[in-house]
Amino acid sequence: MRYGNQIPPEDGTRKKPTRANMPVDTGQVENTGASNPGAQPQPAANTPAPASVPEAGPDTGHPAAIAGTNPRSTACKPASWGAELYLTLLDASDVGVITIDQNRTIMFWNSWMEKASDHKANDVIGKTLGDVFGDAIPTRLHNAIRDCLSLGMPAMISPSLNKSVLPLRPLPQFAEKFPQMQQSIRIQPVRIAQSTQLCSITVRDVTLAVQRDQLLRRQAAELAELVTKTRRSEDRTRAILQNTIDAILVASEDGTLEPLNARAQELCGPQGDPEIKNIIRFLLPDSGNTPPPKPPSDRLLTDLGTGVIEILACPANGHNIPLEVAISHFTAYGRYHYIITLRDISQRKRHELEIQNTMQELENSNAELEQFAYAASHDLQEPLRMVSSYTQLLARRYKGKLDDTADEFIHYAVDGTRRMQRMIDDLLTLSRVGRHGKPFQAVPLAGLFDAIEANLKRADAAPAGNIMRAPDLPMVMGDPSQLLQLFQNLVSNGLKYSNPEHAEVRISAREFDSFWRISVSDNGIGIDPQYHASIFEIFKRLHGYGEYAGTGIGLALCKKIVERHGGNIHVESAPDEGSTFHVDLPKDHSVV
Amino acid sequence: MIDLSDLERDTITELINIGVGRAAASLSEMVDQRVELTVPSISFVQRFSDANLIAAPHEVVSAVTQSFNGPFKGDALLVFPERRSLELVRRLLQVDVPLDSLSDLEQEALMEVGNIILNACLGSISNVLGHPINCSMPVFRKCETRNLMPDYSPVDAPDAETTAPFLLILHVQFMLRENDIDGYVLFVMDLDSIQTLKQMVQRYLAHALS
Repeated sequence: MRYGNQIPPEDGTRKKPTRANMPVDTGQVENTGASNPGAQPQPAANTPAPASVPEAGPDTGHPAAIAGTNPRSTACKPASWGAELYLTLLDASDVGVITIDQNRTIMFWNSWMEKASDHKANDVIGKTLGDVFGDAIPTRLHNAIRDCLSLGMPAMISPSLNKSVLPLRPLPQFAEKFPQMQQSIRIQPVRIAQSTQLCSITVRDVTLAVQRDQLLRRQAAELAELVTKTRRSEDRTRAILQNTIDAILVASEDGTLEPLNARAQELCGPQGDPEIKNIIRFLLPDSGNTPPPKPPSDRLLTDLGTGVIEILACPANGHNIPLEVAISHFTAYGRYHYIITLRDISQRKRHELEIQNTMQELENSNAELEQFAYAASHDLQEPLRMVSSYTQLLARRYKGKLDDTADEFIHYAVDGTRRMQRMIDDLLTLSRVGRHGKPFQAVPLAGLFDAIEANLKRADAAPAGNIMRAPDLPMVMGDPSQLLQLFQNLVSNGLKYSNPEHAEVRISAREFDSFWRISVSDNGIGIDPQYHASIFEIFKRLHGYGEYAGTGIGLALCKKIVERHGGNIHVESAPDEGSTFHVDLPKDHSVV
Repeated sequence: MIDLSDLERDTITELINIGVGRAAASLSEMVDQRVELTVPSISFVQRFSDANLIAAPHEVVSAVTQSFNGPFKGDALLVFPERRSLELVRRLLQVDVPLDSLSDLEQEALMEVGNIILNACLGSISNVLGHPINCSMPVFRKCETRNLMPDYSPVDAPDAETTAPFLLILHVQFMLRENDIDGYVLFVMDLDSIQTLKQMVQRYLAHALS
């Protein structure tokens, strides 16, 4: 308890030291004019205080009165117990209590203030706040005290608007974040009876509240940011969902279907297909206890169980729409949900139909073409045989009987018919590839090439040892006679277009994921890359008839055979560097 | 109705403006930014229901009230629509809090703002008129406009005309960082007090003009 002046007890007795310092003991003490703002109306001077008001001590607020005084209230006599009680309570209060007098000097300074400010009451009483704290005191506090003393205006000083007011020490737990105690201050005029106006300052420590407020603000800001982010992401998701072309629905365990986007609402809405929900429910793996009836067969475009589900939607307002249905699922909040995606496949269906038609047309025209080639070559044989027989007859009968020129002409005619005969044969073979193919079977390539070598040897086309085979040729699936034709053509081509002296043909195989690549390489004259594609065309010949024999059908035939086997043929070659023909034969013929 | 001469009305306006100017200076210094306060209009009404303020009776307002006592007595209120009060406090504190009601500390800050403005208005009247005015500590209230003054204006009471308080309504405008925030200061006084005020103004004028 730190009161600058002892409040006179009711009986007027005072403790000696205090009393000794009292300038007067009756009547009002005039405020020292110099330090007293003129605006303050003077209290009723010299009016004795009513006896019932013990505080009406005449000495109240006089700075001189407190000099050197020991403020301890123990001085109070038992009779003044009432006043002492109040002072003790005030002193023990959990808020800072300061009293300022008209001279702006401190009259009272409780224990709380001593602790918080590190200034003992004895050291501050009689001084101004400015004396104690220096320039640290803000104008706001000065003005509030001034208005309180001169005009009797109360004031409050909030911690938010005033970053620091009194330089007080915060409690240890706040010291790290708050260099100064956060204060909420009340300034109130008090007047003890007729005495002059005093100013009571109450300081509350609100550091904890400020800290909480800061935390609240930060968390509110974080929350707001989170909300903004979530909302943005939600909007985005919704926009994506709404603008998806596919209709998306969600079905819960009990079979309730909820359209999720605009397209789904359209399909399920009044203008949509009234049956669509039933069809979807039917398609769901488990649709409650009573499975919906099977929809009419014209609504299911695919057989169930094939993995692809296509249905036909018949909206009330337009054309039927084929839809592909995809069903996925997720679990949310412990419940199972299906996501149903309906994709409009009208376009795809149209394309499929177009492709089907084109394929059919192609097949028809191919068949016609083959038929034509067969018929033409077959029917051409008959007159050709006639021409051939009679020219040969001419050659036999009249050779040497006519002049030399006639012999020469007859020879050309015979040669021409022979060549034509061969071409027609080849054409027939070619046309038969498609029409007279045999079923595929496993063909061991080693055996196949044995046969080829034997054939070539018989025809005397292959000197021994110039066909080299890799040791482990695989089995392939195919038509054995066509494969024989294919590889015999390639091998004999290799030999034909090489220097007979040191012609070499190598055969090798290489395994790929889905096919075997059989390669036939020679060391012959090679092929200019510009012809790599065209050599597979029918009747295509790169050389004159005199240079290399042949009808120009061989590679076309090879290509046709390979294609029938679902494979590919291509060449790697450069002039004078030999050629390598690669035949890729698929391992699996299920698609053919 | 209370009838004031133009001169008396001007005097009161002038006094108010002096006070408000001081309050603005005080606030500017505290928040370390330019705060301007103006009083675009001032009016006397006898019924609260006559005030423009009541135009939106269900609007929630924040009010800081101080009672005053002295030669004239009554209540002084600083009133803002709640949104405006939030905006004002947050502009002053220069924080942006995404909360739609005042936190405890913000409420206390608003009370201090009210305290400064009301003290300044009352103080400047008191100072110029040479009479001290005893004020109470500010009290904060949040309510709908129509409940702002439940203690007064007994509806349709026969003597409503005489017992109803007089209202001196100041429209105050804060200018903060190029934004205006509008609020009101209300002085609620009884007939005696308004008459006393009028007399005091007259006396002051007589003194000033002599």
